[in-house]
Amino acid sequence: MPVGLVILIIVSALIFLGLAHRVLDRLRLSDGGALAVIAIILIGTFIPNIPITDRVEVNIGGAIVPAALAVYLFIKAGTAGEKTRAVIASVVAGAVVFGLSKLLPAGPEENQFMNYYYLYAAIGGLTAYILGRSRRSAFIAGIMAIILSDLVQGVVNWYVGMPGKTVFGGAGAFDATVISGVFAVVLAEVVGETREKMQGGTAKKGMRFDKGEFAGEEGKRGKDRGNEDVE
Amino acid sequence: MKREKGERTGGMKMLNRRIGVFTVLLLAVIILAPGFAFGEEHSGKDYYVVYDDETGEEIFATSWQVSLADRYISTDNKLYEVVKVNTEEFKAYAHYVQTIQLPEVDEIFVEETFNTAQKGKKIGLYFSHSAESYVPTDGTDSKPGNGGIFRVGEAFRNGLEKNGIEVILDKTPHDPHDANAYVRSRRTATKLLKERLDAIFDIHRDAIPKEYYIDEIDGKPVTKVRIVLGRRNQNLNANEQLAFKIKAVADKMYPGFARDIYYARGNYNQDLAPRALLFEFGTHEHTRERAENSAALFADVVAKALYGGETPEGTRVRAEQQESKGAGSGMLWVLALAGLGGLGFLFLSTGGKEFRSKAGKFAKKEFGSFLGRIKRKK
Repeated sequence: MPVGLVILIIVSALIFLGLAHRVLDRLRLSDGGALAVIAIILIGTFIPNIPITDRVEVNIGGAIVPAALAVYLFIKAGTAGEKTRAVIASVVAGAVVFGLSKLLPAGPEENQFMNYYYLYAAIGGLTAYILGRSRRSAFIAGIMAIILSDLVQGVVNWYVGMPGKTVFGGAGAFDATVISGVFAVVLAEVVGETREKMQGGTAKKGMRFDKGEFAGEEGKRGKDRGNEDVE
Repeated sequence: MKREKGERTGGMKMLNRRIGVFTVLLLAVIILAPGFAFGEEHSGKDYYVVYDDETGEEIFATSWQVSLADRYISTDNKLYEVVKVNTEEFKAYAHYVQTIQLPEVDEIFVEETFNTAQKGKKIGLYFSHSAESYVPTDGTDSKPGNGGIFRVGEAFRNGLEKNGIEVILDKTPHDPHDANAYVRSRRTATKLLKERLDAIFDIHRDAIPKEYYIDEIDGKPVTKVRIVLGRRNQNLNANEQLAFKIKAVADKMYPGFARDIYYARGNYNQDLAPRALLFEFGTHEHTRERAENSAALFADVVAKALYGGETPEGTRVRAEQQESKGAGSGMLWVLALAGLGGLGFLFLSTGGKEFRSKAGKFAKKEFGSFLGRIKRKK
């Protein structure tokens, strides 16, 4: 393959991965941790899919790592309220993505949006933002929306006897799952920042910022911290 | 306790309000999305006819949704751009821009070089719309999981193999034919690309009246072929170069056979590789055998376009430059977008003075570990 084309592929991938790295960084992952996750997603992309049954396969980079990260963020969520909202956002976004895949026109040329992946990311991000104004929830909802929608389609195909394979995250780093998770956070960040700019500053002025999140009011301990990290 | 309960009720109210806002937004999105379709196969009931905006003459027809700024290159290489779309009457108007000069193809040169470069040729084929079928032969326009389009893909594969090319034909079904068909087929395309392919092609058929695609080559009934380019991705220019080369070779070998090139809104997984194209072999109204004949002949065209010019020094250099040119503008596109996005975000998150100060600090902070510590002399 000509050198120009190889460089084009590398540059596109680097930019996307760079963005993904910044996003993970915002999710309270350390710099090194975020880089490690990116590395595993990238390596996992090139490892052959893991067959579960005749009809189901899973890709490490496109589904297992993002889902594991979503679960990790869920466990680390600040409060029970945030956890509940993350679950609600995921289920709602998953249902909406599945519903839209039936409602929207089948040809990518027929939609008004940049691309369905970004639309799905927008749904995941918006749902999570409206419910909890949390970047972590946005990431969880972005990832789980695609996984849940794939799961439902797989079950429907199996039930009606339609031949087909459900390959969770099969496109690895370039799968709708990863793209949706990353852009959901970007969207939550952009909406959050715009809102803050419009209201003329953060509503968390009195709060202490520690390790990438608002960890509570000045002078108070971490247990009193607020759970909304985007406002 | 009372206070806690009150807070919880307040929280629930807030949650309900947010769910309400979300529902309204969602409805707006759904209502704004044009032309609902419940995942049925293209049946040809509705297709667009596109006319020249000056002469009023018909230019082409397509089952694809035509959008403003879509481009089209006709059989005689005239480039048009869509300037008006009437979605109710399925009519559109395109403006003539210029006549495209396709790359020069030296037939003898191609023949000689093709036979000398036989090793390491690999192409991947897949079917995003695995149910697409040909009514006269298959009895229906849609056979989920095993469409007639698979047989056309097999004919294409056989033709490529006769030219000494290794072909990986992936018949993974991506049904139903709904908005997520390309999300699913993207996974197949990625799997194929791990095999270090020279090119990857998504095999389709159109859904317009058969007259638009009917043809005959050396007494054999065939369908014409349409090449589709997704215009929403960074690889457009690189893929366009390949499409031009294929059409140029086809124009030499079988004039009129490569019907046209359509630049549609969307990416069709073409963002995954700079040598990824979508081919349409006839329409649902043709017999499948006609499309299979077409695929066999088109395989010769693609083989020559891809590998014909690779070995001899002179042409190889020229071809590579052309492709690198496409790659270069693709890179600029990606970098410009990333840069604009970054600046936009910086502006949003700051403003005025703070923006200028942060923009200065941004590179230091974001690329600090990448660039390393630079000691400044005092």
